[in-house]
Amino acid sequence: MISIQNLSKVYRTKTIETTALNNINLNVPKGEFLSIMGPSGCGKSTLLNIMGLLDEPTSGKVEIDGQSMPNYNSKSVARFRNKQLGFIFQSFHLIPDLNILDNVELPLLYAKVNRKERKRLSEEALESVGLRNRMQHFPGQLSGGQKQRVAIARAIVGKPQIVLADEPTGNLDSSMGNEVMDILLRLNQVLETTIVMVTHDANMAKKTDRLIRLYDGTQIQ
Amino acid sequence: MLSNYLKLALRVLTRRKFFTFISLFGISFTLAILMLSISALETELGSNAPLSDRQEMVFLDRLVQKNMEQDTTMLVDSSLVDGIMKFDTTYTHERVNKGTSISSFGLPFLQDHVADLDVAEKYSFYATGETFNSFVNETKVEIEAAYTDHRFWDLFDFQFIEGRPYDEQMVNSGATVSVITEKLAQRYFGTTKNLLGREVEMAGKSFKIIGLVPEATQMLLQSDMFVPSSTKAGYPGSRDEYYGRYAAAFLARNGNTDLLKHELNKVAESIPANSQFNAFMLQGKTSKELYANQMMYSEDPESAARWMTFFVFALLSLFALLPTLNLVNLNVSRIMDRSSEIGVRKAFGAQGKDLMAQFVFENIVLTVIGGAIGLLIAIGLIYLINDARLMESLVLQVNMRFFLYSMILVLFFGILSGLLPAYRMSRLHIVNALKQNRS
Ligand SMILES: Nc1ncnc2c1ncn2[C@@H]1O[C@H](COP(=O)(O)OP(=O)(O)OP(=O)(O)O)[C@@H](O)[C@H]1O
Ligand SMILES: [Mg+2]
Repeated sequence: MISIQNLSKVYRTKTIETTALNNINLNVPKGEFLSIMGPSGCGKSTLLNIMGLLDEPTSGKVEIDGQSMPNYNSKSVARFRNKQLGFIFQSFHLIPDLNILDNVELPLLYAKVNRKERKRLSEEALESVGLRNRMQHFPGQLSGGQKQRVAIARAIVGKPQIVLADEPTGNLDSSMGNEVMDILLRLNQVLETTIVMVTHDANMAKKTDRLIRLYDGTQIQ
Repeated sequence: MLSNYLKLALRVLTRRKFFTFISLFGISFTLAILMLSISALETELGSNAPLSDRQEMVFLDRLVQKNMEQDTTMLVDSSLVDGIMKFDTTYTHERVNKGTSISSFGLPFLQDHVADLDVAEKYSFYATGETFNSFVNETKVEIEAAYTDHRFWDLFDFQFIEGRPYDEQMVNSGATVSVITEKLAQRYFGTTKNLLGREVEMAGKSFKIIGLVPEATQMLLQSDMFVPSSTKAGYPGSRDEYYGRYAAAFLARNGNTDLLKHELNKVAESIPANSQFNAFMLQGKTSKELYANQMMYSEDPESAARWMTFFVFALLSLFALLPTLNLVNLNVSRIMDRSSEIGVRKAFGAQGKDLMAQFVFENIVLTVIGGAIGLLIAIGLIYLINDARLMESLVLQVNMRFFLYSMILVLFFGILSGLLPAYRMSRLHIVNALKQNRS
């Protein structure tokens, strides 16, 4: 599903050059639940962002579903992200001025889905994370665990093939974290969605199909 | 999509009350002042009665007379050729201007030369600007008189409140009749009711009132009292002296003012010499050129009009510039506060143009609200100004064109001040946008 070859990422500022990723090779087959661990600053987020076509590699190749992406600012990449990818962030990134339903609808808005269908799909997604009764609330009115469940609903509403999650349980206590993890596992099993998750929590990583470790931009396991 | 944007825009504005208040304050006052200027321009330069046909009119307010003489200059050139001094003499013959006079016209001159132009559908000769003092119950009343022909009333569409204008026969017989403005009626009689048939003393004559009109809002026609030109002292004036106190206005056939101006130029060439002058210029001006010419005299009224237009726009733009920049600045910080939203929207498939559209639209919503408040302020101010007669008899208009121009102004303002911030934000890098202030 996702294939990465000789991937490197170097950040250059005026004073310093940081090698965030150094020659990574990785294959994520369809339907796999992969977790990535490693110490802070080792390049986990960078790797995930590049897999999600949010960032460009300095060198190397990323192929998703056999397709490589030439230009990261192009329309086709935006459309590809919209249809095939879903993102979950550590800090939720819900839009505070939109209610829960409108937040979840967001990907469908850019997919030009009509209003009725948007509502139906969003309700369905909220139902699957157990928050259908909170549709009219605003993000500020929810707990952290609930916010992250909304974020999951938003990530899966467009039925993407791949979900990328950067420390989705990082800001949650263990019981809320387990709830979120259960939803992701169910998503992976029922819909066979490919999931790549960055985590600091070995207990969470244990529940996934495979674990890789990064150290200083290099894959060590 | 649009209803989503609208919902979001209103939510953002109500949540960020302080920002909204500051922005609306700036926007509404700027727009109110600009709307006030629009109203003033529309009042002075719009096609309103009694100058409804002004776009098709040509005005002739000045006669330029010149005294051209044949002049011969002798030029002697000396040069040394083969050791012998040679003298070369050349004579140049030139027509040189020995004196210019600029004045308004004598009535006979106008009647002799411009009364039947081919391309004029209507015309009128009139003398304005003469002021007389009358005394009513020992208080002085100043009257600015206009001496006109009967055609005046056909050319300019004064809206009679009562009575009627004077006709050709009255003008020919020197009837002492008058049409007065409400403003004069108020000053002279203390009322505007039941005045037909009463008399106004002016310049030693007693004029019977046969018509009552509102005062013209345009400077051009702001006289207090209109009387037949035949009642003017010294009527009709000397045939030989071309200057006098009269001006002419024409309605161009099919609105072709250029053709009429051209015909006036032609006529000027065939005017016979008088005792002092032998070359003449008849410069017809459109109403806009006439205004421009009053503000800055120029040999070329058309370029003066262009300059005036430019100055007015430059001044208004300058005035609008500062608040626009301010709004741009506020917008940039407001939008950068929402970088997390931008990052998320992009991650989920928004393209640059979607974000541009969203933020420009949000800004338009803001300016339209500001514009509505500004409009209320402007109408309030116009009401106050008109009521207090702050600007000597300038009665500001609020009409459809005023609303139209104001709406264009608001949209222009909204798009302009939203475009730059929206552009900057649509170019944000997703990863960086998501890193900044997390929510
Ligand atoms: N925009 C940037 N400019 C310069 N250096 C950067 C930039 N983004 C990341 N880096 C550097 O790249 C390295 C990898 O960063 P990354 O965010 O991928 O780490 P991480 O493994 O996700 O860490 P954490 O667990 O703390 O989230 C770090 O050393 C970081 O300082
Ligand atoms: Mg990270």
